[in-house]
Amino acid sequence: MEILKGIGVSPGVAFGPVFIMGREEVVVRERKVPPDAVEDEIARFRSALEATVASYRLLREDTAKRFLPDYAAIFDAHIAILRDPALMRKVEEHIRARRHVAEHAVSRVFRSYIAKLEAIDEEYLSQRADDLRDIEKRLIGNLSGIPLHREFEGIEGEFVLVTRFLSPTDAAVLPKDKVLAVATDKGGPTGHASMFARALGIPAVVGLKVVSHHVSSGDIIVVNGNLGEVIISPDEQTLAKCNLERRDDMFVSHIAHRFRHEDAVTKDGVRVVVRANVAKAEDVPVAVDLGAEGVGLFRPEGLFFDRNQPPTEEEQYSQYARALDAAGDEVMTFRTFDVGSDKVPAELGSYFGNEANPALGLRAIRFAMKAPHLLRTQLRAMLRAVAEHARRRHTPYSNVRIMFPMVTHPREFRWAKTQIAGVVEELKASGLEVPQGIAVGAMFEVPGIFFGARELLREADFVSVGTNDLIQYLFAADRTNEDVADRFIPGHKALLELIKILQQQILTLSPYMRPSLSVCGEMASDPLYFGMLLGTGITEFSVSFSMVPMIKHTARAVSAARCKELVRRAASGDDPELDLTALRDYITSTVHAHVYGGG
Amino acid sequence: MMEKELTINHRFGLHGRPSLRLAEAASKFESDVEVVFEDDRVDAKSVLNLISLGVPCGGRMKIIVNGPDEVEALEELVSLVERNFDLEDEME
Repeated sequence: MEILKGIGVSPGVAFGPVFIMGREEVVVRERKVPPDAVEDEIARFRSALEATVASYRLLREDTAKRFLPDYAAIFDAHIAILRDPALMRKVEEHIRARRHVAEHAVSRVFRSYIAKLEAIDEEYLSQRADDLRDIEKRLIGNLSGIPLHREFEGIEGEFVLVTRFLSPTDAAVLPKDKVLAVATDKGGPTGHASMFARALGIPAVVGLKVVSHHVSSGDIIVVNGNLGEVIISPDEQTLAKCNLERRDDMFVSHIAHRFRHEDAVTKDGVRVVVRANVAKAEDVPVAVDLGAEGVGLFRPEGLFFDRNQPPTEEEQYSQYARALDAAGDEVMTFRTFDVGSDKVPAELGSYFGNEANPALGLRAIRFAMKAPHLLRTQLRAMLRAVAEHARRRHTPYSNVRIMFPMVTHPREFRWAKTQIAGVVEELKASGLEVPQGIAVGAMFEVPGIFFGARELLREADFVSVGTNDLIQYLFAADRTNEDVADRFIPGHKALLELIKILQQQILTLSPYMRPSLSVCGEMASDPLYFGMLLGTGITEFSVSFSMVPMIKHTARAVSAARCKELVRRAASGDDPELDLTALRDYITSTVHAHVYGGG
Repeated sequence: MMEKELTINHRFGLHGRPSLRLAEAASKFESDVEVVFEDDRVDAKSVLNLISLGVPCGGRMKIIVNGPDEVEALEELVSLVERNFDLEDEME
C-alpha cells in the first residue's frame, strides 16, 4: 500500500482498476517522396490539415453542447495553431526541399517547436508543448488514416484514469459512464482537466508527480478527491472503509435524488426554499427536473463572452423566453448583465479607460449606467419575454424577479428602477402590456452596502447576497488565484456579522415593507456552508443547479435551531475564522442518518 | 520602421490565448510585424512563433513594425497588450 498526496480538484471518493493512458510519442520513419510526387505530397498535407481543423471544430461544438461555451473556447488555440502560416510554410518547405513524406515533415517541424517550449522554465508555458503534441498526433493520424480517440472505447468496464497530464482534448471526451476517477502527475486546480472533471462530477486528484510511474494498468487504486490523496494497492481494511464511504455517499445522493421534488422542511419545521443558479436557458429544465423551486439567479453573461458585438435584443429575447417557458409557474430571477472591461465584447472596449483592476472597475450596474442603451435593450428583451409568457399562461401577473448586480449606492438602484419603468412605458406605447407583480431586487455583494442600507431595503422587493463577490471583496482575495485562494474564507466572522447587520436593518422596517432575503453564490451549494447560513436565519437559497437535490436533502436532515446553536458556538472563540468542526460533524452525521431513518 | 518595448502582464505570460489574440491582430495589417524577446526575433503573425518565445508574466518584449500601415499597427498592438489581451480573467 502506498499513499501519494496531490491536489484534490474534484470531490468524491472512488476506486477501481487503473487504466494508464500513454502519451505515446508518434513514431514516424524517415521516408522520401520521388521528385514528381512532391506537389501531391503537399496536397495530401493540406487536406490532412483541413481534416484536423474540422476535427477540432467538431470537438469545440461537442464541448459547447456537453459543457459550457467557455470550455469550448479552449480549442480556439488549437485551431489557430493549425491555421498558423509559419507552420504551413515550414512543413511545405520540408517537403519541397528535402522531399520528406508529409508525416515526417510534420513531425520534424513540431519537434522543433516542442523542444523550444520544453526548454522554457515556466510551468504554464512549457505545458503548451502538450497542446502541440496533441495537434501533432491528430495531424499525423489524419495523414496516415489512424483513427483517434478510440482510446476509451476498447476498454471493458469502469476504470480509474491515470496519466502524466490530461490534455483538454482527452478531458473533453472522457466517458462519464466508464471513468470512475482521474489521477494525474501534473496539473493544478485551474487546469483544463480539473475543470472538466468537476463539470462531469468525477473525483480527481492532480499534481501527484509520480503516480503514472508507480502504477500499472490493472492495479487497484483509491482516488480521494476530498483529501487530495491516492492510495495505490490499498489493503483490505482501507478498501472496505473507502467502499463504505463511497456507498454511503452514493446512497445519500440516491435518496436526495429520489425525494428531490418534495418540499425542504427542516426537522424543527422551518420551510427552506431552494432555487437554482443557471447560466443559460437550457439549464432551466434540468434545474426544475432536479427539484429546484425556480431560478434564484439567471446569469446572462454567457451571451456577452467571446464575441465582438453585444447580443441583439432578439438573441436575448429568445434566451429569456425559453428560460421562462422551462420555468413554467416557478419563480424566475433574471439578473442584469455583470460584465466589465475584462470580458466585454470588443466593440464596447471604448467605454473603458485603462483599467488596472477590472474587479473594482466599471462593471455590472456601474457599466450599465455608462451604457444605458445596453441595459435598456436587455430589459426590453426581458420584459417582452415576460409579457409573452404571461399572455400564454392567461394571467396578468408574473413570477419574474429582476435583480441588479453590484449595487453600491441607493441612487444606482433607483436609477435602475426608472429604466424598467421607462421600458415598460415604451412597450406600452407600442401596444404591449407588461404584466403586474415583477419584483425588483438588488444584489448585496459590495461590503459597504450592508451598512446604512435601510433606504435601499425599503425600495427593494428582495435582496440577494452574492457570496462569491462579497467574500472576494471582504478579504481582497481572488478565489481562482491559487496563491491567495486560502484567504477567501467563507467560514469567517466577518460574513456572519454582515448578515446580522442586514437582518437587523430589515427588521426595523414595518413588516409589509420588508424585502425578502436570500443567498445566491456558490457557498450555499456546499452542505456545510448551507448549514452555516441556515444557522444565521436565512431560509431562501439559490445554489448550483446540480446541488439542488443534495441541499434540499440536507435541509430535511437538520434542525435549524441546532445549526444556529452550532454557528453561535463556532463563533465564540477568539479566532476570527470559525471553528466549524462541530457543525461539520453534525451535518455529515445527520445527512447520512436521515437516509437510514434515524437522526 | 517603428518599435515599442512592452511588459507582458497576463498572469500566465504570453501563452495560448494571448498569443492567439496578438497574432490575429498583427495579421490584419499589411506591415511586417515582429516580436523580439531576449535573443529571439519572430514573425508576430504566427501564433506558434509567439508561443515558442516563452515570454513569462512580467517579461519585457519589443514589437517592431515595418510597412505602409505601421503607425496604426503599432498603436493597435500596443493597446492590445496594455489591455491584457482583453482576457485577464482566464477560465478557472
